[in-house]
Amino acid sequence: MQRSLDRWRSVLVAGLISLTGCASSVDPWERGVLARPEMTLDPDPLESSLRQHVFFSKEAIGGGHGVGGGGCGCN
Amino acid sequence: MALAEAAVAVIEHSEPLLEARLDPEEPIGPQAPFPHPTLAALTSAAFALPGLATPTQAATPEPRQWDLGYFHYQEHGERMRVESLKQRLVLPLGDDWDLTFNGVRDTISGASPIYDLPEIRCQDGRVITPPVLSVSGASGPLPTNAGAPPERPPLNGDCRIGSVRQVLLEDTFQDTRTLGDLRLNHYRGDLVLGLGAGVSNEKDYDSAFISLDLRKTFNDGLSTLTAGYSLASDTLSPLNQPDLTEDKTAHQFLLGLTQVLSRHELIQLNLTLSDDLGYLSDPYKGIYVLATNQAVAERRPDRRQQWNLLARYVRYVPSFRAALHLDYRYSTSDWGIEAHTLEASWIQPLGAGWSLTPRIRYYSQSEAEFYRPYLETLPDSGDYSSDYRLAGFGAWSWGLKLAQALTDEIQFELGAEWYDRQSRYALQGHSDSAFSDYGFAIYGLSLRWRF
Amino acid sequence: MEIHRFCFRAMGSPCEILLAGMDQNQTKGIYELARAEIERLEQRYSRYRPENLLSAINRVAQAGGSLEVDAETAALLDYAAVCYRESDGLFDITTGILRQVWRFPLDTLPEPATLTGLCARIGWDKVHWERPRLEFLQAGMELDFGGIVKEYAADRAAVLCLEAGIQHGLVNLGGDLRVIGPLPSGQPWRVGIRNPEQPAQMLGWIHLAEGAIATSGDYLRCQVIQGRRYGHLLNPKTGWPVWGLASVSVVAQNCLVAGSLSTIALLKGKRGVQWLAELSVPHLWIDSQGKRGGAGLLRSLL
Repeated sequence: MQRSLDRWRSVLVAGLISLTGCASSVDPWERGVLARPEMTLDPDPLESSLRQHVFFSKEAIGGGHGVGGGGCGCN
Repeated sequence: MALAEAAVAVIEHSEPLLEARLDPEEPIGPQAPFPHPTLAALTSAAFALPGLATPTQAATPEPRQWDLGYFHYQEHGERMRVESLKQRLVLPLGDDWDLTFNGVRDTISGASPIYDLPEIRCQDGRVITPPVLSVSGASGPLPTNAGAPPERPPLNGDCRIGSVRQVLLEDTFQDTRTLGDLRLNHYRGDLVLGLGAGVSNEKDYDSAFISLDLRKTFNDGLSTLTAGYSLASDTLSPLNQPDLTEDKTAHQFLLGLTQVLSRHELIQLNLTLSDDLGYLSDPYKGIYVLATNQAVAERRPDRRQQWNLLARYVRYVPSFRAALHLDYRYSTSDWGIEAHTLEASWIQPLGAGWSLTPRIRYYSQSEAEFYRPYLETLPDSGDYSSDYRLAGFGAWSWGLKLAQALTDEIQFELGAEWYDRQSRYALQGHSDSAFSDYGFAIYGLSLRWRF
Repeated sequence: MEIHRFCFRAMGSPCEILLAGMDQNQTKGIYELARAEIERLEQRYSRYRPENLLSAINRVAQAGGSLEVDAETAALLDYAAVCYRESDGLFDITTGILRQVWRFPLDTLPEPATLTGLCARIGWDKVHWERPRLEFLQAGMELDFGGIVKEYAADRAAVLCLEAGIQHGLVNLGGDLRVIGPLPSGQPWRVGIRNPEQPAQMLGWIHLAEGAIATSGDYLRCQVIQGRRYGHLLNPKTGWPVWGLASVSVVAQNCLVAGSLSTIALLKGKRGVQWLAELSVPHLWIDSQGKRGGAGLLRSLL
């Protein structure tokens, strides 16, 4: 477990560096497209919370999208 | 000096959202990663002027919005069905706060698998279903052949386990789950602090939870770092064991980075650790023991640690004026389960306020170390479960959603998704659990109101 | 959500401020704040207001000598110095005295000797600028913040609105346009670009969610004499109007930079085309023959 933790930590750190390092600059007036509702990471929170709940109760693995939410008798 | 009063002056602001020519999708010229020295010099000199530095484009409270949805979950056959009514209300409170209230009411009915029964096939053609003398838990199905002596041939070369079938807990119970949670966000410059709390109640399961998260935007608004923690404290009081009350505690830790990659792309990486402690077994699940012909209660470890690495990528596709969402999640848990989840969706505006979103998802998990469809003999120690959700399997699901924005304020959505679980779809090596294969469908109808 | 539009005149141009996302009263208050700031800047730096800050500076410039300036003027002078350096001396705030002879409508072309005489009194290199002291090494000079102050005022007005909590809106000072924030729906503003050759016509539309666009051109103040076109944009080195490009629009993060880039490109004449391409900013140019070119989000107007 500890080994896999370390592995993930190094992957994440490497990811952070490469992402912030290589991303070319996007000027503010070019961000209009990213402001579109369909370009948000979670365009439909109601639906996505339902789907995540269903998959969580039918699969051994759940979560990863955020923290919060309660347990249920479904799993 | 240079004043072209008439050159740029007409501004329109009430264009319909989906008019084709509204899309600024002409490819922009070469984007140098570093600005030309002249541009850099002028820009920095401009920002040195008093009062010209723009206040950092801080995150701001969400606009008022109310979502209401009805979802129907139906497993194939006469198995479980859930009617779910959900609502989500977002209210900005002043300039620096917003509040989100979620409410869910699920009505659950139908049968669900409780253990797996092996069948013995012999070379002489006999097919013997072993008897079930007792089932742990009061509300399980009545044992078959009650009182009859356990009679079965030894499992040797002549007779072996031929197949396995699921035994369902019949449609005897109906439960409702009611969930309410509040989330308060505080916006302070490039920082957002989120606090959440909620409760969820069922006849046999109560959960209370709190969460805390912090988001910081930096790198000229191109990067957001998120850290979060949540705690859930659950109490189980299974209906089939009236004297039993058990507790469970779940911690979740999250570290995430969202990065704008270009004017058309962004990516998010989330690393989460879930640490569950306490009673993690399912009180309704049993496992069949061949030696004694009994279905006994399953037993899982009292701790589970699970890591998820989720990568979400969103890209705008100018030629279709569509948004592509790609998600990949790698998960590993100390129960021996490793899982891959891949999901893609395509949000396609169709004009006149309509949009269509096809979606496909693939999931694959390896089996838990202690997964067994049944046991030969009951071990003195260790864990065992025949829960089909701990088996190795894969699942494909695909769905379609149609949305219609009637006005800027009101939008309707109609969606369906079909899920097909198959033991053979799994990527990882695992014992066969094809007898647990099934599928379900989700139908949804929802309304969004920005007011 | 309602969008409030306020129209007024300032800096010799028709202006408008569009604000959304707040109620009428709040919006009006914020508009008045922005308008007051624009008027303050016009009062301080206009060539046409007697007894203002600029005329006080220019009295010293006329006589030769030095004076101390306030922090805001100092910052504008710093900015002008960067423009001078980056344009190889073409963008020069001391060029204004040439207007004594290039007064449109022109009756006759000025005598070359007159121009030579005036050019001797032009040049940022004839000014010694070291905060906070500004020294004119030569008498008979004049400063002119045209090409800087209107653009700066558009940015200042936008920043004031942002600071007051406005997230959706734009400021348009006679074509120098600065976006405060996108439409309440998150969509960009649709900004029409007029055809400088035929102002009643549209070249097309661009979409701006943030940033600014500014245009420099000589269509409105130019004259054709003996078949040759003379604009109001003057080369400080020769004293003659620049020739080659008729109009340049540039999109940048703020209006000030967009305005300076478009002015410098125009001053560079035909060489401005290559220069704009090297900068890789979204831009549009139209030359004296009506030929067009550009890059980025303005390329859709070609």
